[in-house]
Amino acid sequence: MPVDEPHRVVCRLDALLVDRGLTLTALSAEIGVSLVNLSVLKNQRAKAIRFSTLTAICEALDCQPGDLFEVAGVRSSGR
Amino acid sequence: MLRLLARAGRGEPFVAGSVRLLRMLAVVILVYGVAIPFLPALMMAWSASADGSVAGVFSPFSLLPVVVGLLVAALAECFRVGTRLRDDVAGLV
Repeated sequence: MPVDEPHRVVCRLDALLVDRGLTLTALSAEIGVSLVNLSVLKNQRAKAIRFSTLTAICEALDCQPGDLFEVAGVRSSGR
Repeated sequence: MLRLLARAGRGEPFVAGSVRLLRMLAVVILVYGVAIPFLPALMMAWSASADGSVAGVFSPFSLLPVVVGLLVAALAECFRVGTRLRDDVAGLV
């Protein structure tokens, strides 16, 4: 897919928060990322994420980036 | 300029409106600097000369408005690049 086409990355932050029993507010307080930014991420309005933010979220939720994001319409072959 | 300062105060100086404002300001300064010095001399020569010719009209011309106008135009280009960079990081968390 050419890089200038719209992205199809889906963020599963809401599902992970429910799974871990955490609220967005609690996550924001724990990792120091603003509630506004986490809300942008959760509501699929983010266009890019800093690696530092990604690291902080994965540490707080004990997950990997692949648990947090998926690309719609792409089947993972597990290579 | 007050609008530009207000936008800067809100932390949003790099928007298309600021670029337009600065470009307009650059044009106004350049026109003022180049055209205005000639106008009084042109009017005098035209009224004094019988055939309406303006040959031999000399007017003191300052380069300062031209330099300032070009600097403001350069600033407008910097703001244009800033606007593009701002668009690039919109939605970055």
